[in-house]
Amino acid sequence: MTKRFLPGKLLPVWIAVSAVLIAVGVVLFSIFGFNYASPEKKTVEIGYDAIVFIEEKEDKLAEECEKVFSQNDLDYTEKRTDTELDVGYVSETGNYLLVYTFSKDVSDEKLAKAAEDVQKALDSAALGGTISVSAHTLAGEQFHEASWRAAIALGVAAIVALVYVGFRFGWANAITGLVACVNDVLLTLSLFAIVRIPVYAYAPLLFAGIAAVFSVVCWLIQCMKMRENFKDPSFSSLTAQEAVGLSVAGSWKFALCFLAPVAAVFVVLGIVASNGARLFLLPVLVPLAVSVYSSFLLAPAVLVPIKSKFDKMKSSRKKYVGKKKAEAEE
Amino acid sequence: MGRIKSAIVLTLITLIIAVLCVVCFVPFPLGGDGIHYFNPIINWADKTSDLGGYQYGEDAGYLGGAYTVVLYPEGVISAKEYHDNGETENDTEYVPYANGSVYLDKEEVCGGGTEPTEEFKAAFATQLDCLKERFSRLHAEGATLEVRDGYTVRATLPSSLDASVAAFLYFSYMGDVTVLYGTSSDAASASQVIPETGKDAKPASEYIKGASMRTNVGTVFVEVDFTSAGLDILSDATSGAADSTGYLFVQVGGETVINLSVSEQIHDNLYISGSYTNDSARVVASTIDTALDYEGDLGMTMGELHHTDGSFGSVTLGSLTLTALDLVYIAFGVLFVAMAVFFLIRYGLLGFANILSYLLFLPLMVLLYWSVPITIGAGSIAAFAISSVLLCVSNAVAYEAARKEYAVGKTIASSVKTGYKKTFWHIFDLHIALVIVALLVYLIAITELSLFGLALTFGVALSGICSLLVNRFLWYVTMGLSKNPGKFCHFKREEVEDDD
Repeated sequence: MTKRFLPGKLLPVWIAVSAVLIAVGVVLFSIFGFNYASPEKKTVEIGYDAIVFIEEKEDKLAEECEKVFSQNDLDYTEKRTDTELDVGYVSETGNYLLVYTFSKDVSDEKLAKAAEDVQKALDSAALGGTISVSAHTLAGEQFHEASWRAAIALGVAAIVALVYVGFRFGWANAITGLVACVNDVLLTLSLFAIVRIPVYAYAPLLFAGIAAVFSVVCWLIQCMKMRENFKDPSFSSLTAQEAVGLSVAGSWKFALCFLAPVAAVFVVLGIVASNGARLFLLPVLVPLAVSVYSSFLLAPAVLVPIKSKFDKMKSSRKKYVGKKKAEAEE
Repeated sequence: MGRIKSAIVLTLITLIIAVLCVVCFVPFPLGGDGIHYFNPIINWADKTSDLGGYQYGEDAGYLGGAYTVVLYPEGVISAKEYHDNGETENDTEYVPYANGSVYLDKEEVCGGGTEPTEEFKAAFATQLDCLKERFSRLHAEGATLEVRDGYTVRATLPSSLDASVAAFLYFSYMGDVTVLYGTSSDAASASQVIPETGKDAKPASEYIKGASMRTNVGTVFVEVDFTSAGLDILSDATSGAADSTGYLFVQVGGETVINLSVSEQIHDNLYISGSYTNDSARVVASTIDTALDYEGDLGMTMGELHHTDGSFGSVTLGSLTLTALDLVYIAFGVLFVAMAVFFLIRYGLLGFANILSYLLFLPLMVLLYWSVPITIGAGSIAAFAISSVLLCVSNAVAYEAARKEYAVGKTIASSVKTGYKKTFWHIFDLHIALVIVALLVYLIAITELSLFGLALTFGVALSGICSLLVNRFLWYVTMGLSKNPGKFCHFKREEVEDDD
């Protein structure tokens, strides 16, 4: 005898898993916040003028700097050249700023000494022009308006979208979808807080948005499959538990059609991307994985008791209508 | 459709798509002088501060990347300024701070010591909160504020924001809001009317409720909302304006942010239009509005303005430097090839219908990004990726449904019709639900999430059109080229076992 997948039986397990992860995430978030990619970083900035540029000594300048950094056992994480602009006309002044970024763990003293050594090395290299070197510590600030606006936006969007689902696929599916969507958004954010994946300041909100989108898509796929299956007469004799379980078990191929390409796209984008872009593109797999979990495990389990209740209400309404009809006929 | 007709229609469609793709993606020389180049639409589209910039036009303007400045509070100067001023280590006016990264005024900031006073720290904290509020109100993707060396602020705004430089300048104005009125266009000769000076001087918030950016029939203006006490004073001050033109100045921390001529008595709130854009009006309104909320007069000065390339970084391969955006283009190129190969293997020549519908979707998305405009950044890239997958999956779902119909013995025309009939509502529901989510997210959220919502709204809507209309039409057209449509689509009949 084949073992049937009975999603409702595991409802307490999935509720416990989600609740624990969300609770831990909330606690960690309130204590440490998200692991923002650059809440604090250190830089050494080398300002040079047009003479260095005209005499094509920029490479030599960078070479001297990097030599000093390696002598001081310092590894930079990023290097970029900023162009100075005139404030009035926003046109180039001819001055540039070579910026080396270091980890926040590098000590201020070590960095200040490196900056001093770089200044000496550049002075003795006689590259021409005026060169100034300075070391800095930067700590990022957060804007809070975006967070509460995002929460309202996602809440309203999920409710309205699931009202549509309610009209098309029934209110049991709409309520379940809403539960799944809220779970996916919170669980995604919690996982980012727990696993400490480095994120950009704006990224948690975007990941929450992406989680809501994936959640709606995954649940819609389940709803479509269920509606198709429940029309089959063989399903009418099954309990809500069995019907949902059978439908969900048979829907993985259908869901995979969407999930696999999305995962592949973000993996390829993440692999080919620059380091900075990778930090955003690869973690998109987290909301995707959360949506898979909720649409295959949590949401079907939530749907079973709701569907049972709705089915009972439906049958008692039918009985009532039948009774009324019989009374009228008598 | 006959073969010749199909070939002609397909050629025309391919030509249109090719032209669109060239206009959107391919730069080419113009005029043969080696100087002038056609700049494709993708280069013109706005980029967030995360992505690498593109230079365009003869005036060397920038798209992409960001502008940054360091804002210095009064009494704090950079190490460069300290040395440029000829100051020496023996100088007693300034003390080094943060290992000499900045120098602090010994009296003004440190109260004669070597560390900043509590008073200065509190004043800086208030100014930082005010700056956070101002930059946050711009709702600009990629706007960041960082505290540098403890007591300076590094601000970053995307260069796609047309009022970036004005924002840095205006947002550095700290202090009280004052309204001056005079008969000369020089603010120095005007007299302060709000707040009233004297014994019973009240703060400006007693006279001005706030300032906001408004638009009406395409005109952008700044509204300064006065209280009844403020309006009474303004009305009195401008009573003679009908006879001789007066000049009104709204200042923050002594710097003029609004300057207008007055030719009649003012009885109502000020609605100032002119050359404002949405961004610049928001900058002016935020500057005034936040100055009313945050008390403090620690002035700030702007350091050098810099343009920085995208924070997503770049990759150097030998002499070739690829920006983050170049790498995203390459990744999408690889994915496109993979998608094309998959569809051609699985659906034979029918795969061309999907490739062509995707190739139509691609430049149309770029045109939308450029014209709406939708800034290209992390959110819009994610939205583009999701809607691209949605289009290809929707097409594949329709093909698979038709394949099943064909397998049970239907003609290809009937299979396509039934296949689309069976999958229409699936594809429609998916697209409608996503458009609802995306549109509401765009309308309610701000910054990157709003951008994601906007890009996803257009992406999903276009995916729906391309999948349900364009792809079906292309299928109809491409099929006309083949005598054996089943083979053309790699569709096979189910083998039925013969009982005899």
